[in-house]
Amino acid sequence: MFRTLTLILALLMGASAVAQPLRIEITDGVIEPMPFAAPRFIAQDSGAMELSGDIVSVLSTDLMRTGLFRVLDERAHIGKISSLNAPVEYADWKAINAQVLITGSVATGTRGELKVSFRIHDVFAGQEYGKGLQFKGKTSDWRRMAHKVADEVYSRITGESGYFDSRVVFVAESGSKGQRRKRLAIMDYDGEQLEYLDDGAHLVLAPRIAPDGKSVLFTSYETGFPQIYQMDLRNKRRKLLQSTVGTTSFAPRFSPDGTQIVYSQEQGGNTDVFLMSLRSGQARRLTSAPSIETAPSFSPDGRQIVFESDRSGSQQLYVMNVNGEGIKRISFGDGRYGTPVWSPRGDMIAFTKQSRGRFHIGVMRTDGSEERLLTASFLDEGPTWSPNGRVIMFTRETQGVGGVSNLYSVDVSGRNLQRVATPSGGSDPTWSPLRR
Amino acid sequence: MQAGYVISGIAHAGFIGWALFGGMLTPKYQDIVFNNVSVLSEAEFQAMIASDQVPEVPQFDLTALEPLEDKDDVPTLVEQTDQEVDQSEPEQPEPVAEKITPPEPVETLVVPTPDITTLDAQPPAPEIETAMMLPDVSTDSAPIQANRVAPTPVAPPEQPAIVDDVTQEATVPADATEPPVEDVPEVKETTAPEAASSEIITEAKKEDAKRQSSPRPMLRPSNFKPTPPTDAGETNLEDILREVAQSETLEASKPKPAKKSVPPLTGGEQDAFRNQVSNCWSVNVGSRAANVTVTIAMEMQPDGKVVASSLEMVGFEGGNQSDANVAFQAGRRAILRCQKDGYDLPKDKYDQWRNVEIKFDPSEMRKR
Repeated sequence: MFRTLTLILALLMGASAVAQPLRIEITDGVIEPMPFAAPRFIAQDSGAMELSGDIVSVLSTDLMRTGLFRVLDERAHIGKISSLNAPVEYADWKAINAQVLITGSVATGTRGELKVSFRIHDVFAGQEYGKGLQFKGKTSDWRRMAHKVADEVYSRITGESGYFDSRVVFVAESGSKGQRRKRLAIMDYDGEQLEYLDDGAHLVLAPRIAPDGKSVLFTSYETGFPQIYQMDLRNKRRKLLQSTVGTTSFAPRFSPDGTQIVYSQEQGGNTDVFLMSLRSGQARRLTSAPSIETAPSFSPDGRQIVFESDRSGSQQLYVMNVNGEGIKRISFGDGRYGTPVWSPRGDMIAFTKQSRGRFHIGVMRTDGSEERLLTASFLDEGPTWSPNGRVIMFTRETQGVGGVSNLYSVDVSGRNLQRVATPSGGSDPTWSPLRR
Repeated sequence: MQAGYVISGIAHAGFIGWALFGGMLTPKYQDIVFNNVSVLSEAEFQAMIASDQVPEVPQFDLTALEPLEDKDDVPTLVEQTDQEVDQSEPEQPEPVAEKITPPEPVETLVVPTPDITTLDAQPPAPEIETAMMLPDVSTDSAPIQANRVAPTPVAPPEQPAIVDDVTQEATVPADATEPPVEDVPEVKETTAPEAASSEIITEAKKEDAKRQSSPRPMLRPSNFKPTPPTDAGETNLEDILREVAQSETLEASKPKPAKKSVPPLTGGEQDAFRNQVSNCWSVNVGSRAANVTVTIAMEMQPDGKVVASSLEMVGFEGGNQSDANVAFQAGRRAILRCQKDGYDLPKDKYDQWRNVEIKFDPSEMRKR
């Protein structure tokens, strides 16, 4: 017994005497898109021939739009994928420096069904990222199916949820600057599948989509005063959300659970932040300063609200508890801060900043620290977060009489600034949650 | 003159009066047009919507994510009849997909989908033996010696000749007719074998001499002398430890094959290795994984290649497990991608880089 114990201890101590490993520390890497290969998905039938190419195209575009991936030209491919379940010759893909390989197949049914199966390979590790998956839906939804595949690829490689299968409600603008027509519209995050929600007869502003993505709040001048409306996105019917007729209300935003809204209301020349229950219609005042308090936005946990106020003499950002107590200023830099929006992650607040004649979109920690300006132009404003809190979309307006407004997006790191393709101009975007 | 004043006074008075009472200074308010807007409660709004015809809304019935079947070929809808698709519904009664738009129930199409197994296209590479034979080279500065003992016995040397003081006359043989013997055999001088050692060196002594020049650090203090157990009947932990120490001492005293004395990796050699890996370390700045410092351990082959199966995360700081896994993947990709035909490391120092731990710290990258 003791001999055995002795032997075990001897082995353990002997193991401890093994030479120490070489230890090095790396702090300097590279920031570059990850090259990936996405050969055309295998068409299982004649009906899937065209769709297989379209799906890969949308999938590749989604990934490249993030700035984190770079697709390798199909003409450079050495390896061929003949079957989704056949072993992959990783050496062929290593040779073209593909770090990720996406293989898939597409099948259609006689009743308009569509099935997309795919696998994601880590080329240099010589193994898959998890197991293969398949989506099933209708052929008419092929684009959304491609977004779903892209979301899965993005999620498995970056560890974060994707944002490709999401929608954006915004104000579509057309016409000259003096006679601009503004209509509510909804589209996919990439500008596709555009659909108008009204006829543009009345001025509309600042749409804000619900946490479930099924309805949208917006401000309309239909009555002559700015008033808050809620529209059901399924049938485009709307209702007025206001407890006091004749007052001006604007800048609404949903609570995270979708049961309440915060908004600004002007009463007697003073603008304050109010909280309203969507069930009862009861509203209560959260601020009562003689200054202008507006642009409130909930934290993801629903416990706090960030808003802008000029109570200090200049427009700054403040955070308060959802009951209106504990107001604390968080912005102290030069210039004016406005339109704050809490990140879905909860760790950052995006804002618009005007300083020295330039407008910026910026982010800061919720306590106001680590402020970073991501953009700079003649007029940037109205940030909205992607569902995963990684990308910010905003409005950029160009200077001059012929100036136009367009939607842009930028990574939270300040990289990858891109214009969002829309048929005409656009402003006031609001990003939906990821669709289910 | 006064008439002018009078006229001026009247004109001014008239103008002031018109300004006061004629409405010039009175603000003109625009009539505010109020539109009658009915305020609906939530219940009324829902009732209104329910009573109206709901227009067709784009439907989407994306089914749940399902793993592929563990078969050689994925079942295709072409091979399935519609009936077969319908029959598959009861087999999986709980679709994960969310129905998006009531009131029309969303029909989900599901097929049985058992778990798949990972495709191992490439069989795992056999482990390559990493043991390396080092040349048995002595570090002794003494010249190579010949055999320690001469191969043949040596005859004792002759006594040196003594010169006598008395001159002796040459003797004449009795038979003078006999010719004198001219050829006297030459006596060779006896010498020791060349380079023979004056001392017999045993193998044990030779190994001891080599150990003295070994660069390997002592595993235990040189003055450590275990004491024998005092009581053989009572074996406690101290006794066991002592016994272990003794066994280690004995092990250390055994002769070991000599190794060449190799200097440690220089700073430049370590920097070169670091640069090779960092060139492939792509950091996703802005992600949560960029807040994680991860340490990856691995084993290397003598040719500088990484034993892929040995890569493992041995620690992380600054995030949760999920973020750490992503950071580990990025580090692993960098290590595997940049090795190419093997990392350029000094082969003679293999023992020093056979096991490597790399800490990937992205804190500086976040500031870029």
